[in-house]
Amino acid sequence: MTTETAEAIEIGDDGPASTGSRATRILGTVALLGVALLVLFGLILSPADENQGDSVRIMYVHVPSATLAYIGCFLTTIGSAVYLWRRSQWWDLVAYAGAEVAALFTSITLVTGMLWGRPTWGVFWVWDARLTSTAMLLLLLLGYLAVRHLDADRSVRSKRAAIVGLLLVPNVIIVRESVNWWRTLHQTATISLGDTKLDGLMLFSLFTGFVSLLLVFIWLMIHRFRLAWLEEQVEDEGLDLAIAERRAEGAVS
Amino acid sequence: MILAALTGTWPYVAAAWVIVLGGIGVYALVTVMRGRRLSRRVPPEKRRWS
Repeated sequence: MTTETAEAIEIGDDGPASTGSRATRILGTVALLGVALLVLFGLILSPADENQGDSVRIMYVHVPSATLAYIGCFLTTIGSAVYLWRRSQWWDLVAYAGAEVAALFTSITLVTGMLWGRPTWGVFWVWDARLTSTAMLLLLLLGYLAVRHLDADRSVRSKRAAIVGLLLVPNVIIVRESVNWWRTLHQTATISLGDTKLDGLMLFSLFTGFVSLLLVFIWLMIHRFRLAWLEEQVEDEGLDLAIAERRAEGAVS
Repeated sequence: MILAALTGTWPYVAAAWVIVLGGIGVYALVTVMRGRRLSRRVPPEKRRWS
């Protein structure tokens, strides 16, 4: 590769080479403004709860994180199903990006839940149906990601990961319904259609949490998808190089 | 007031928010850095977004 070509690849037509674009830069800026608004309302302007005190402020990040983890799992299952049906690389990468971002948000949900549980229940952890099923969901996501890193042919790896990916939505249904199916220490849904237990600034803060973290989620999904795309391109390049070297060796001998 | 804040539920609240914002921030940073590194090895015509 000549120096000029290398520079052209590095700089590109729209600035430095990266997974960013004009759209993601705008989205990222709006998401950051949303997060600033969330901090303002969640930590400063919203009042303390009369029963839970200030620990209710954890809800503004815990509940949206859990919802986004479910959305990530949903995307992974859809992507996996479409990949198995049509062998679409695009959907395979959507599934991969969804699983990694869902693993991040599931981890955040578990940790913030523990930090909310300590002042509310007196313990960080109980083997309650909601907590246990969420931990199982995280293990399943980590299993999916482990399969994606198997040292195997890409199509084999994607197929195996897709089979694991299909299990995510059924697991999410178990997590979601666990508080209704079993007697648990965890409360039932904070918000449900027609029966919202919050009002005023608390509800607005939670809404801000949903919107701002959703924007962050979309931004992360786009960047992770593009990163996965680049990983496959680089893998292909390495494979082409290895084949060319083998052929050259064969020609010499 | 400060003592009450330090001994009450605020440490849990602060830890939760730091973990959420810090966790997402670190993940975003790692993803962007890896993207920049790999982008240099892929020609622009294969980076459809740029």
